[in-house]
Amino acid sequence: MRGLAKAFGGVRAVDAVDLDVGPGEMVGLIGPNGAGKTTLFDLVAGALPADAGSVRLRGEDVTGKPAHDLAQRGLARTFQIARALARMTVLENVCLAAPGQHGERVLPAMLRTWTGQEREVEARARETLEFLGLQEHADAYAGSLSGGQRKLLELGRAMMLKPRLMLLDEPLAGVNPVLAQRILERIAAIRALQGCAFLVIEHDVESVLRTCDRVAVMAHGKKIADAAPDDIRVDRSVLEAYLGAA
Amino acid sequence: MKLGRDARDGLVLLAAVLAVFGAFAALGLGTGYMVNAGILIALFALFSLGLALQFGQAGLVNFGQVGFAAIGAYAVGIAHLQGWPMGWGVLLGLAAAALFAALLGIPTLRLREDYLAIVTIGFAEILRIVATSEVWLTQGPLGIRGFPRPGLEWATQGAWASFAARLGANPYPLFVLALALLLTGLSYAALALLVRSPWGRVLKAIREDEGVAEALGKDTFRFKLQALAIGALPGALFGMLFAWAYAQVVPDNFTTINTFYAVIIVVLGGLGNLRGALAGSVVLWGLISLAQVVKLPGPLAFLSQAGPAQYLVVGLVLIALMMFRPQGLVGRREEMLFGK
Ligand SMILES: Nc1ncnc2c1ncn2[C@@H]1O[C@H](COP(=O)(O)OP(=O)(O)OP(=O)(O)O)[C@@H](O)[C@H]1O
Ligand SMILES: [Mg+2]
Repeated sequence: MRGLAKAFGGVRAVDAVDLDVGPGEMVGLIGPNGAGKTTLFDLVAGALPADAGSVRLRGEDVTGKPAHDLAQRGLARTFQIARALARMTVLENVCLAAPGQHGERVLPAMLRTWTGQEREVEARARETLEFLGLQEHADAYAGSLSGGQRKLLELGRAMMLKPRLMLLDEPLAGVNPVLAQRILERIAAIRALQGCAFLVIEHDVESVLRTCDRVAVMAHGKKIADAAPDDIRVDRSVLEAYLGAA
Repeated sequence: MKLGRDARDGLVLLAAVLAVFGAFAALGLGTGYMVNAGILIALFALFSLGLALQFGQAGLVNFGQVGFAAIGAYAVGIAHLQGWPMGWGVLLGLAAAALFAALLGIPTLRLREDYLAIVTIGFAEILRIVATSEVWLTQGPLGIRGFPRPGLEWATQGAWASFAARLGANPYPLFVLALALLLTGLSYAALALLVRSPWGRVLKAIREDEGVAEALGKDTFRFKLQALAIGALPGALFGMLFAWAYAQVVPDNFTTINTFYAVIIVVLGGLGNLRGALAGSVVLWGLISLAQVVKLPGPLAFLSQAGPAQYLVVGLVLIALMMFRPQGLVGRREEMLFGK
């Protein structure tokens, strides 16, 4: 992404940010509250229109493309405040996310020519739930899940998309430490297996520095640092931003 | 014993039908009255199925469903005035309803959800005013009469007529009832197939959180437009059947109150379940039909005198029902817990 910018009234939430994520790379995005991290995700994922700047995905200019188009092109994102589809079951939430479903067209839907594909989708969804430890809740309404379980559900939906790039907004917030560890491992596994790249917002700076290839830091809408974890640890401007001295 | 959802919904529906028609019988009402009430029940079930899809499944607020009914009715009426065969009128009505739904949806479905509500209610009112004033096309307030009605000859002589005579019913209304039940059943079956498919799953996702559906790669605009257009079709069918049942097409049949009957029906029946449209219509039109003939005793007698007071009684019963079953007759109680 190049020169991305977004202002809400007078607040320059994201101010001319450049950021690259290479294929299979894992990039952390940290910064104090209100730094503009989530807004940056919204711009990249097409959930909000950018005031300026451009986004390229796998070499293609995708600036201004709608969110669903980006998702179909291999971009998955999760939300900071997990958004479960409450009056649908957990299994339905996850099945929904499978790409290329034939039964989402009106005629095939009525002719029930989708049942074969649906069996595969459901099998994959159950596998995903099993991995996340949600299999017992498959038939419960998603609205009955706890906050941490909803975060896992978000991750499960994103995994179903088989994306090339995942934007994870605080995937570990509110998740118990054992599970958080498992998620980190799974993320590593997805990277190894599918070559998916990650851009991860996370306030647990230590986890980020430990697991990411590169870490970008934002404050007041600007990117103030972008370097290897070891260099970030000793970066003065980052420390200042976190201590509020900037 | 634990019943499956299908069986439970079926029992509720059957119980409602038996209660309503049992009450008719207990009041000594004849077959003719029952047939007329049955026609209203079947027709409004059909009409409300469109809303059950649009509002119950996709969360789209269409306050102009009666406008699609007007399109259906006027299509068969105008086809007659133009000298076209009845089948053309039917096709024209269905196509025009879907087209108008798309025309209403395209500018509004990308905006906040209230815009659709405002635009559809305006559309239905405008259609009624146009139908009243454009006399050259619609014959104005006097309306269109004398158009062919399907099966009229067949039903009024031969086997069907003697069948009706044995039941003590007029043959043609009985035929309309059968036709209405058939079309309602077919429409329900078609919509149920859609709702239980991946297509229907996306609609529900849109209802729950459109941003999530988008983020998961669903072109929500397309799905909403399709839901709006498909839901308009039972509305148009209702309009045609209404025209055939009462042998007239007049603007006053298409006032907005009818849309709100449909809203009451789907909420009463249970949002989120297509069968709510069926059960809700049985109860609402059953109550209205009963209120028109029941004589309340003693000091309550005044309530059964005038028309508005009869509706008051219907309203009170509805309020009681909703307090007793807030999720609707065949709604899912669990879904109430997670509403927005
Ligand atoms: N929809 C909005 N309307 C107005 N202002 C907004 C909106 N969304 C975000 N902002 C503002 O933009 C700035 C950046 O918000 P953003 O949510 O991107 O921060 P963040 O870095 O994700 O913070 P956190 O770590 O707390 O999640 C904040 O000052 C916020 O008040
Ligand atoms: Mg944030």
